Amino acid sequence: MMTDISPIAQIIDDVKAASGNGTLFAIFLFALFWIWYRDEEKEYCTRIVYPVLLFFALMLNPLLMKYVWIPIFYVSPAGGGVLSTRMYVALPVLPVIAYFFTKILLSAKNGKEQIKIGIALVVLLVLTGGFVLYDNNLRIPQNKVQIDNDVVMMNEAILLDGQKAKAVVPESLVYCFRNYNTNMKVFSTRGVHNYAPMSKEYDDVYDIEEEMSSMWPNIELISEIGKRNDVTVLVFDIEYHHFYQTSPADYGYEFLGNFGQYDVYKMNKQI
Amino acid sequence: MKAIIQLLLMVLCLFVVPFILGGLWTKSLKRYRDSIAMNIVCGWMTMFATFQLLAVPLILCTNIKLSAFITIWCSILFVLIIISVLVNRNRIRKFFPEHIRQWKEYGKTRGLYSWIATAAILIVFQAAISAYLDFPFIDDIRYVATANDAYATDTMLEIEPVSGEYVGHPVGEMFKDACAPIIIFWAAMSKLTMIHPATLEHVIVQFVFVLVAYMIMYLLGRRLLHDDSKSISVYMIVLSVVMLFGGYSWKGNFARSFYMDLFYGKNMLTVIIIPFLLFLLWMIKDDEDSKIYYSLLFTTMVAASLMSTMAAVIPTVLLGTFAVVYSVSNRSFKPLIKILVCCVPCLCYGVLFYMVGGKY
Repeated sequence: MMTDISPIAQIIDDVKAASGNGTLFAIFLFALFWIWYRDEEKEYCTRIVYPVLLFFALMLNPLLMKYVWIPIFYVSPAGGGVLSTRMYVALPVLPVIAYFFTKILLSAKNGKEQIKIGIALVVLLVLTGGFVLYDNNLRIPQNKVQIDNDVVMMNEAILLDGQKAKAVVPESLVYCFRNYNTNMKVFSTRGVHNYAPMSKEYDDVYDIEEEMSSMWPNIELISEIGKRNDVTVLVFDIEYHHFYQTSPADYGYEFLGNFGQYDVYKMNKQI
Repeated sequence: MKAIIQLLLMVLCLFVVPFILGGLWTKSLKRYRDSIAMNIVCGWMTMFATFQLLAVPLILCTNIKLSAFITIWCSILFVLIIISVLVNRNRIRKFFPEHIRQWKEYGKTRGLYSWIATAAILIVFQAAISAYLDFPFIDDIRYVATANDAYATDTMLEIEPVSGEYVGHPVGEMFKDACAPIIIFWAAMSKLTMIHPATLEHVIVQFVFVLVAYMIMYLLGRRLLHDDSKSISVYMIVLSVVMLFGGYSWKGNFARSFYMDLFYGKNMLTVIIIPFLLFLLWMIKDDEDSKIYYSLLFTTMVAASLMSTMAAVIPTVLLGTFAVVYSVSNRSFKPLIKILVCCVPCLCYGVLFYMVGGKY
């Protein structure tokens, strides 16, 4: 599969991904040129410019890409394909831009000119850069552990009896469901893949995950597989999952409660 | 009362201990001898490197308990702290009075206080806001649950983090964490500071290491601008604004790694290790105290291996480019050989990962 990847295409992908909208990266390249051409500190070429050029020579070389970077950075397509873009973190983009801007600012003749240049640089940054705190994934935390309150409350309700529990949860909760309490276990492919690949348990977890990804999950199948694998808790996303004339309560899991967009069912041990 | 104890332990473990340990390195330096930032950064590198050297073999070869491991690691740090205090006893007495005198001296330069204050406000604001905001990400389960398991069950990588199943030894993706056990480092810090791993990773680490990252940037600025206080203050202000608007791309981006989930090993590598390597490489070029800087470079490369298995490649290539450029500019193979020797730890841990974990 690795040989299918075109090195040129990978180089283009990497540069596109690492330079983003391109404008701030262009300022970085211009700053390098400025250090080489105009800066009085000629020795900074050896410290900044030449190593960066050599780095580009290594990363933009199709032969090296084919025989070194792709084999090193190749992971499964699900894991991101070729992760060679990560190499670009070695470039000192922002410190060099800051140095360039500082030198421009300090070259001003007086305070007034300094203010004008300062404003111009900030405007340039606002227009060309990306405001880091403007990100859809960043949010105000709900508590001091920065784990969703729903997850915290679900954990506390499920583990109230002091017993360990094993849960099947929607994909949206897999990444955080165990973060609050270690007595919670989660039945998911990502976990089972690590310790029991090629086993019956792995087949089961795959089947359950397939059902959980469906809007109309087969509750009977989930319950049956769940019981076989000691799953004591089922969590459904009520904004996504729908039940057709049946409910987990019909298969030995009683309704524990609703937590935000999630309904939790816990195995009734009396059955 | 518990909160006060936690705060004191936090200050002790996250600032005082690194500061004292850093004294071992800065004692013999000419230029950065009295820099608080240099002390703290060098101290952190020492803590990371000792942890890495000790943790990897113990995780892979034994089922040692986390608390026992912490005892061994802290004993080593304790010995280093004693040595540092002994060798620096004369310096410690003069250290802070000297800084106060220097601070007063800044008053003679017009407007310098206001430049410094602006830079400090911007930096502390950024540290606070990045610690306060929550950035949920798919790998949270690996980083938080692993530390949580280690903290709660007193084990090291014996529980598969996504499922919570006891496996007794690293399996699958966990080999990454066995060869680069930064998560266990956070679990150890949680134990030492008595703070829940989720809070420590999401809030405390974010706040502290944004400050540490700016300390490294300050050191870079000092070197670039020849220790001129006013220029450095301006540089720090400009840099902090550049950082805020530096999210120009999604991948390989310094600013995004800086603000979001700094406790991820690869983000620590990007924000803390790589800039410090850059600084050390610049200092090596100065050919002043180069023996110490080469030793520090070696230690930092060991510290890099703690952060991510990617350390086998990214810092090594970075060092390689500088080694070639320096050798050509000096017309000597000496820098090439010395710098390449410093790459050995990262390469060794990379080979180890490839041998024990395959490719995950």
